[in-house]
Amino acid sequence: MTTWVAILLGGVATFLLRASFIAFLGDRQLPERVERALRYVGPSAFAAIAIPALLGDDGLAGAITPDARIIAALVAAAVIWKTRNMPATLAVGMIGLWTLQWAGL
Amino acid sequence: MDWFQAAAARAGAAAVAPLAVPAVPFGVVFGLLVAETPQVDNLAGWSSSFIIVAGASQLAAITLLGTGASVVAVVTTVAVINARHLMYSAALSSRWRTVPRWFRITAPYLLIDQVFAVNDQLGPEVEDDYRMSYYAGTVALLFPVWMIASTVGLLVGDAIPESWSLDYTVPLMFGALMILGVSNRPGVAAALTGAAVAVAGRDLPNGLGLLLGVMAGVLVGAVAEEVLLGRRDPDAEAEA
Repeated sequence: MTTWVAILLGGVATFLLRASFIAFLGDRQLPERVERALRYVGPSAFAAIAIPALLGDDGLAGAITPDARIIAALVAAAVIWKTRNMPATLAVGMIGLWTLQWAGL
Repeated sequence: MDWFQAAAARAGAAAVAPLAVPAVPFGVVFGLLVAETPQVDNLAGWSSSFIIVAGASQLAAITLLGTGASVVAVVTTVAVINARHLMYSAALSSRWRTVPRWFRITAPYLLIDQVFAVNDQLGPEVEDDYRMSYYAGTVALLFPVWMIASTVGLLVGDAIPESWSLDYTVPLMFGALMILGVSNRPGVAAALTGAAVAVAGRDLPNGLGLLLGVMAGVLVGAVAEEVLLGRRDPDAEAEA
């Protein structure tokens, strides 16, 4: 029962967060300064999700002693930077990771 | 359905398709966690994939429920991890202002990270029917993938060898989205700040480090824009 209640309330909370501005507060014009700041939501959010996950439990110490996951990510970063091609980037990242792990890194 | 444009929906589905790939291992990992958490009823845990529809917060919720956490603790954690969706909503809202109200109320239910990433690329010049159809196309592809992957993970997730490291596609995808989203120097500052704060705050309770990272990144991006670019349109630099 606890599980159901927690999940239902979690769903309601998540929906309200997602609907907030689009559904309920969107009729008023946000200040131009805020509007411009919101362009940085994407890169900030995706960085805040990706980088801790890549570095793992060691945090910054993990970056000093690079493992296969970090090296493969750097290669993938070069691919997305140059090609802007997401499928190619995912493929290179995964193949890079498998190769490095196979090589014993 | 007079608003629906099949070509726009196909374009949306095509745009989100590569981002649906990492949703597969993510969903499988999630489903497997539900299966392996005896304190959580399988049906209830799996149902969060269509009730909450936000993978990272679902993982946290099931993990907490497995430790006997209270409803308040679980819901707080889910809300904090998903608070960035409020900023997604704000970022899209000005372009959605003229979209019909019924769509603005229903569509955010499936405003998943990848859905935001793709739909945030549509500029203000796009017409409402196209915007709605494109959005519909993105969720029509991504949401079923998420549900199927969650189901597969619940049922047969342990058949997939851990050594394949398929879950690695998730940070890989978000890292690539980060780079795609950076179009100028303030964007670089925003991303670096978001990453640094999230890493520094990774041990904070309730996934608070993620939220602080996003907020700090947006703030630094905005300040950097004023300092580096003055009040000019930052896109002018991106195009230069």
